Amino acid sequence: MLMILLIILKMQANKPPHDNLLHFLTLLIGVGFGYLIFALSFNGFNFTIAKDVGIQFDFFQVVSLAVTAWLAVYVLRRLNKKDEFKKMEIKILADYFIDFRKEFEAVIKELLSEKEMPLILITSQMKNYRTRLEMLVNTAEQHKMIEKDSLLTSKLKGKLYDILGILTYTPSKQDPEGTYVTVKNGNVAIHQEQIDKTYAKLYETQRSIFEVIIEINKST
Amino acid sequence: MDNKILVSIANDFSITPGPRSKEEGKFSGEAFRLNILEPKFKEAVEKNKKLVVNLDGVLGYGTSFLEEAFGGLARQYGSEKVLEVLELVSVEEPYFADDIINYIKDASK
Repeated sequence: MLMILLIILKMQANKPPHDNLLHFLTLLIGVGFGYLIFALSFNGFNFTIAKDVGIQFDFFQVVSLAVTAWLAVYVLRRLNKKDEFKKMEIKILADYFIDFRKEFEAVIKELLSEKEMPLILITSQMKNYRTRLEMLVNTAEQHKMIEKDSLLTSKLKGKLYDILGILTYTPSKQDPEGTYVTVKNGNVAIHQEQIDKTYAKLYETQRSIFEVIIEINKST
Repeated sequence: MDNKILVSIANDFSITPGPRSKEEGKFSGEAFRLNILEPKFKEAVEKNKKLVVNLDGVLGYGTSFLEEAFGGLARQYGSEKVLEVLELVSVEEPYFADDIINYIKDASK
């Protein structure tokens, strides 16, 4: 019997620890029951140590104990699994935010390396990233990883809008003051001041994304 | 649907909205305001209807385009009237509706 037990345990060695424990307990209970039924059916299960000391098995107590133990392990296993799923969800979403940060930084740096480019290139890229950010924030909110319409996410969205403004805003005839990009034939010429402003906003954006990731990780 | 006039920027104007003014390039906010938005706005006011502007379907907006189109309209007809008549629709970029409302409000300052 011990040999069989060892073989089964070896077969279970590659499975997760919770599976092993559950299988081991089930096996132990099974072996115990088998032994009890075997002993009771031969009507010889009465083990006496001394005259006044004896060991007596109450069948129903054993069953109740076994079921309780099995249930405890089962519930523990279920709860751990739920926790693992939540951790996995958080990791996936945090990774998406990290990818977003890296890609956005690369695209903005590439745009800034060109002194002149079509306006539509900036607006389409910014639409892409603003829409992606919106989707990521909505997903985090739906899964209750961050508060809905929180200050943190509003700040982050605002930073992207600011970058769009720095790179595309030209003065109106009513308000010609200030320094802006120049647009001619649909092409934007970015001046050093706008480059500096955009870099400053980009670093603020990265910090905001980092804060959102911390908030998401706190939701475990 | 009868008491609404619909404008789709992508279908009625361009999928590549451009800069602020005509001098800056094609498909400008100024051109959109003068050729599409203002005539439809006037029609909506005359017929006592809502003007529904659909912002979806374009590649992206620059801030000047929106400011010139909607802020420019508010500078001419007043923020209150424009906000009363105008209804903005966007599934793709719902945040632009808030930006536009701010341009309209700021235009009167």
